[in-house]
Amino acid sequence: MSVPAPAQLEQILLSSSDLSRASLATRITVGRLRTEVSGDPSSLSQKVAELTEFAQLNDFAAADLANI
Amino acid sequence: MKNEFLTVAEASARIAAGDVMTVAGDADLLAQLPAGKWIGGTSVYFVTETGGAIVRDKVFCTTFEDVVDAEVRQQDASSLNDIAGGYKAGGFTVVLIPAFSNTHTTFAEAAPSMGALFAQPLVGWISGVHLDELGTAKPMVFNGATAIAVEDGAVCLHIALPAGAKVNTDIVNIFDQGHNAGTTFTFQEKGFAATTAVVEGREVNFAQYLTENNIDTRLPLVANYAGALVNVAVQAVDTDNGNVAFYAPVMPGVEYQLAAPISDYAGTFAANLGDSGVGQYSCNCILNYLYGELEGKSTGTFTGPVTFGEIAYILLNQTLVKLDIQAA
Repeated sequence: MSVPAPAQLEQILLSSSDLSRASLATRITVGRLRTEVSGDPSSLSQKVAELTEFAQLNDFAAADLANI
Repeated sequence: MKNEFLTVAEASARIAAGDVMTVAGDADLLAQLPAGKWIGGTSVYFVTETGGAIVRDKVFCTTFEDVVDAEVRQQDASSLNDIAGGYKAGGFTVVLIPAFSNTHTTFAEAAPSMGALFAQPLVGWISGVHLDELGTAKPMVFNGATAIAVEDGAVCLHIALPAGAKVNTDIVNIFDQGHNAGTTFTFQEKGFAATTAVVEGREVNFAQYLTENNIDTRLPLVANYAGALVNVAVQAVDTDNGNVAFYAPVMPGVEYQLAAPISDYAGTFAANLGDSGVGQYSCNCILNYLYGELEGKSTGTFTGPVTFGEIAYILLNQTLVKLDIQAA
């Protein structure tokens, strides 16, 4: 499963959309990362890298993020 | 997967025969079980097929059938990230932690940032005691591999499933953020207690705010994690000291809203759960049991222990956690 591009993950972290079809693990992870980006916008690239790694390590997460 | 109440003798026989189980019950009963592939936690409150009930003469057993492998491991507060070290490919893990322990606090505050825990379904609960025995009895968990009680630690049952089997976990939160969308609460520090909160852009003493606004603290604060509604329940409001205690930590920067009131707990649960509970693993919160007056009221087909906190990757409050396995 390929991981979405950083630009797409950036949009996911900057939006407030519900990922209702995603797994619970992905929802909680994205929710936490969004809060962290909101509190410190300069951390965006770091959080995108963290989300990328999460998706690389977990096929279910890559599929969740690709299907948003 | 099979959920049932068993006598100590019946559960012991199953364990001796090699069954893989999670067990919930009174501490005196759990202490009589032999070593084997099981983990246990103290609870005397249950959701049964006929409604909420206090059960002290039997233990509630969930038997995981047709598993390829199962391993019991134990962690302490300093090694919680190593829970993931026991994950088995294509499997899942059940974790039990005693209420009020250091491990409970550490897990609650640290788990959301432990990315490795999210690699496969992680469910479980916080063990408790009868509410009349708060302060006299200690919540405990049991490491079934040694049949020894643990007052501070996390016991984990790591399970591997046959190739092609699927496992899925989710939460059922009957609350939503609809009480007053314009009023949000944020906190500056992580913790099980807070003195101040930012409400509509203004820093206030949170205990005073709750009191002066006559807020029903049986309603949780609800955060939206990308569509997953995560509750934090209020434990106590101390206006003398200006302090509010919670059953789970508030997180800095997270926007919380007060949940909308619910008039019919049991009916709302039943409507949200449907009839798919038979054969699923689940646990529900003691606060739902109390505030919803669930004793004797049926909430549908999900059965399991009533707990002092629920775990689906992270610590939850006032939430039902469920896990379903679909055979290959």
